[in-house]
Amino acid sequence: MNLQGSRVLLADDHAMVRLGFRLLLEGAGAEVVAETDNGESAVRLYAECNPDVVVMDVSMPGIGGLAALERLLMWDAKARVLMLSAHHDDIVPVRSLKLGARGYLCKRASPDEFLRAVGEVRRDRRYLDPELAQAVALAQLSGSANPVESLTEKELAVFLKLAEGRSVNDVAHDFCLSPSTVGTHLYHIKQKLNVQNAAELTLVAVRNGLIES
Amino acid sequence: MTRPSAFPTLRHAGLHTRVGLVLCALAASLLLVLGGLWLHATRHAVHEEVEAATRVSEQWLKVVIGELQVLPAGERGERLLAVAAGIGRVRANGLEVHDARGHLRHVSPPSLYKAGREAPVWFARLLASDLPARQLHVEGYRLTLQPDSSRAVLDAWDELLGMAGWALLCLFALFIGVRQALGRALRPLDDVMQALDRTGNGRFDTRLPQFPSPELGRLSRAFNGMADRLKAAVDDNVRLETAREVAEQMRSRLEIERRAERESIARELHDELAQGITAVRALGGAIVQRTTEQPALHGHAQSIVAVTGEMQKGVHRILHRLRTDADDLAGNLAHCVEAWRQQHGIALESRIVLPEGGVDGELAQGVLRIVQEGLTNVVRHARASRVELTVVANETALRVRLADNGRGTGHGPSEQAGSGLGLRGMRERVALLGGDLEFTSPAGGGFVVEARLPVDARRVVS
Repeated sequence: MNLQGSRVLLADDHAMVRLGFRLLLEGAGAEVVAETDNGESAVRLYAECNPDVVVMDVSMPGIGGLAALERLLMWDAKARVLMLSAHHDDIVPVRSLKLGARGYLCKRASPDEFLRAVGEVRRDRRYLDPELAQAVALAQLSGSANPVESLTEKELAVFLKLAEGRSVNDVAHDFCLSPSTVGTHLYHIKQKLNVQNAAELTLVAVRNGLIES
Repeated sequence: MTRPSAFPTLRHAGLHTRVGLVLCALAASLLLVLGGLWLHATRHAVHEEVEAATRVSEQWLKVVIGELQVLPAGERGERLLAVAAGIGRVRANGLEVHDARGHLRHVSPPSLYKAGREAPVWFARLLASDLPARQLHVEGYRLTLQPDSSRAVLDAWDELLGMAGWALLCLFALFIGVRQALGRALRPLDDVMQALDRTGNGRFDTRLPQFPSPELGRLSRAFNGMADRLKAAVDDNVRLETAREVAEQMRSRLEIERRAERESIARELHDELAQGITAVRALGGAIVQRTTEQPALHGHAQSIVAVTGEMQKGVHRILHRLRTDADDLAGNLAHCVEAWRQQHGIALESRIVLPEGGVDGELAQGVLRIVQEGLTNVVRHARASRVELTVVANETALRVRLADNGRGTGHGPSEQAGSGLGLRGMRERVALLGGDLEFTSPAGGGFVVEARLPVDARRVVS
């Protein structure tokens, strides 16, 4: 896989993972122009470095990958972003691709697959992890059978944070929102998913593969 | 033979009124029998009296006529007339005198006793007895003594009226008395009825007092005993229910704690171990890239990439096991069914029988999605008012059946066997799980989707 001359921005909260990906990318001829461990600075660094490709983890501290993707695309609609996730679900990939990410890859993919995905996104082609393709296609066929799909982007981002076990105040702090706004999101999420408490919320997330390796 | 509303008031009369009436009727018939006996005796007495009076009168008249023998024969007739006119009536007998030529010369005046009044004809006929008229002859004159029982009969009639009046008065008093006595004696029955009503309305603390009469006393003892047992049973139920709820809460709290525990282990595994493996794998990949010239290192680096791939799969399996419960499917289905029911207001009957050990996670997920998609299709296309969901599994196969009473096929594009997006998605899902799917539209209308999924067989996943 030849990525000669590609300028890449890496956003992942695990330093070792970043190191691994960086070495991989450099081995393929790409240049990692910036690294960060959170979504907010990913947006800032993108504006500063204007890389060819952004490789971004979905779950990061702060606003997280999805919200960062949204902000990044508002700044530059042509940004080429490859989303990475340690989870194995069909909701977040669909959301990411709908939001405008060029690619979506599971972190379990082999190093070669990772480089191939970056290459595809670099050439502005769409990429979807083959292991997820089946689930995503079926999710599209079954329409709105899954209530999680009825969540708005903001609600889904909040839902993911809450399902990870973070409190409403934490989430409010992450997104720079007031706790009452997050409370309103939480109310809508509970209504749409028909859940009563945080435990059930986590359960729904688990069932949908949103927090599962 | 029922005559409707012939005596509505009697039919609806209370028990005490009815018993009073029956007793009065008994007394009245007794009185009628007594009346008959009295009538018989009176008839006899009247006969005796009039007969006796007639005999005495006849003898007395014979004596008077005998005294007339001292007079010359020519004067005797006139003298007889004068005597007859003088004596008027002889006790209960009328007196008539005919002369030799048969002319009626004298009739005694009507009785002055209760003059002008007569007993009713039917009553007179009941009491009257035939008494022959007596005739005496004096010098061609004929003296007729006519017995007349009408005064005696009138006396008897008056007596009867008096007695009947008293009898009616007594009957009425009897009726009132019986009615009141019964009413007082039966008053506890009202209490019994009220107690039954209250108990029927769920007030199990209702008890009856000890009534003085032995029968009602037994009734109240029986009722109170029954109410005690009922209350005990209800208390038992409440206790059991409470115990069950507490146990359920304990269980669900333990379940939540257990889940939280597993969740924290899973999170740690995921965040630390899985990410670490990803990093090592990437690093391994980087070494592979850089060692194409050094075969010894290159091979080892490739091994690192391969082994870390296996490790990731292992972690994934552990996470999967940590995060799926054996009884998850039943709970998920119940949750889904309940949510759907509340959201759409369509009658949904569900029968879910799953094997003891639960079902495999992927199969469970598939079944849940099939049910969700089927229910979504019902809302979108069927216009049904009733849905039946059956999920039954044995050791080898799991059957999902969804039947509605809606429009069935042929009313829109989506219902044609599997052509709609929902049905196509369902079909692919079922195929992935190695099962088969059938759509039928029964003659009676509606639509039936039935999926059969193997429980054990490894699925045909690529």
